[in-house]
Amino acid sequence: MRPFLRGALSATALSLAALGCGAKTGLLVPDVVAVDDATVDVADVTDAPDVVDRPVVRGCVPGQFQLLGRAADLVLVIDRSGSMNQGLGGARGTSRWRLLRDALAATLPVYQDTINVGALFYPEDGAASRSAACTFPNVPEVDVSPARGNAPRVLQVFDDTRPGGATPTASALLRAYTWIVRHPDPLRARYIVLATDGGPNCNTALDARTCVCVGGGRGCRGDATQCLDDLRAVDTVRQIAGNAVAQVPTYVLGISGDDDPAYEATLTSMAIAGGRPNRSASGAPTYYDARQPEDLSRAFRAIQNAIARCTFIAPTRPADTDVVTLTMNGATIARDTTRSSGWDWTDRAAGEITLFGAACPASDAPPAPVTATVECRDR
Amino acid sequence: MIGRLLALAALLVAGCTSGVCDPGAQRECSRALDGGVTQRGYQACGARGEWSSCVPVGECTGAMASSPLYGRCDDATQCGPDGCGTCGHYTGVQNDEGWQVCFPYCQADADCAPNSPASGVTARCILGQCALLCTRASTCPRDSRCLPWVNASVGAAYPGFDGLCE
Repeated sequence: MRPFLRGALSATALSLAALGCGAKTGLLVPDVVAVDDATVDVADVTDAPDVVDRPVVRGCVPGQFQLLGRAADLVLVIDRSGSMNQGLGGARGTSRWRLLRDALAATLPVYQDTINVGALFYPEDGAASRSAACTFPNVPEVDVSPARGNAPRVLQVFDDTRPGGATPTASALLRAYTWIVRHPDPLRARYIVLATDGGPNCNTALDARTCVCVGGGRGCRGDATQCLDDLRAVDTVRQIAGNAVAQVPTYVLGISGDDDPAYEATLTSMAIAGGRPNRSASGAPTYYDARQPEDLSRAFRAIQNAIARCTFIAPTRPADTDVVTLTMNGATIARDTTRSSGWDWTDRAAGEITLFGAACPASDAPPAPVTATVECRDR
Repeated sequence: MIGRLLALAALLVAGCTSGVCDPGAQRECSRALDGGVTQRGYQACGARGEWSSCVPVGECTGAMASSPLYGRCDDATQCGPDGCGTCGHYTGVQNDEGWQVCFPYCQADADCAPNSPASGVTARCILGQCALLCTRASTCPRDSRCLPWVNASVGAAYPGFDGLCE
């Protein structure tokens, strides 16, 4: 071999090796990175005329006030597992992945200037191995950080990646929650919207011999990660939405239509645990259903409507919670601490009030003003 | 010759595979802040076999780090150097005055011990955030008080405790 060729080959080999090393070890980037990289620009919110982003007044201030919507962040937790390649009802045709993308394309632009939208897709794209596909560590990272005007960024992930791999739903929810609490913003309401076709798995603590397998049947070929991980997923949602430190209400959007009883039950249980279930015609709590493409858009619009139009900041924070009366179009809205239909305090320290059920009508019409009348009594 | 070069490249790649991790693995790390302040943390190995950045947990240490854990605050700058603690309120307790306290992020209960006198309290890491469970008889750190649960369903998850120090 000629010397110059030998030298070139050596240099190439060394360069390739060094590049590979850098990519894997982080040699080309700092090993330790401060994670405090909050990207939410609070100043931006002041542009929005219909939301409030200032702290509520402490104590009781009597009078009549028109409530202003509370600024909101929404993190979409989106199932990118292999089953999202299927059509609705398991049929061929347009994939659930494509249907969800198109529903978001139809709805996100409508709300992207009033809600900071972000997204976390799971499982990770490009897992190192089949067994690694369940790995989704609890680190404060999302694919798209919540911000105004984010619809193109979220949709770009749909275009740049493809569904595949397992369904570590519980881990994905925890990661989204961790991102939210590590980027605190006391002026904003925070929400998670879980969009999944059901069938969480990836729990190695389950027993493959006795569990119900994702896709039906028993045994799961001896692989515990194939067990339906419904209980852990529901419990994770319950902890996120109801823990004592920082509650993040969670909406569940089911893109299933499989009519698999186990999946249906899992989606409904998660929706109830998340504290923001959809209400059926009979009033029964359930998840937001998307059996048809147009339903998917409607369901997502209803969720965004509830966030954008039914969460308010009270102008005052009376210690006696019974001195506040809410009215909409002249009609009194009853307080309902069960949160089925009426209003309730959802974050007293922040002065947050939320309308639930029939009190939060899904409508494309301009939102009706909600008025609070506050009477302060001597304590 | 080409074989030797390939072997050399393979050796170099093998030599740096200590940076390639097993998906699901975790290791400790630390971060250094100005003034000699340090904070522990963890790195997690993702599905692609790459380490995450360092996720800090627990309080900061060092001469300039004295953050008043569980003391009242109005904003995060009162909670020590950037990232050492957050200033926030707990949504699960009755907090009509809108009090906020400094608390750190955590992985385990041990990350949450108060650094000023308190009695009858139990430090807990709840979904990655520190809190002090308390009873009516507890003495909370600094001037914070044991605020009662916002409702019975929240309290049911913490039997034996009346609320949180806030």
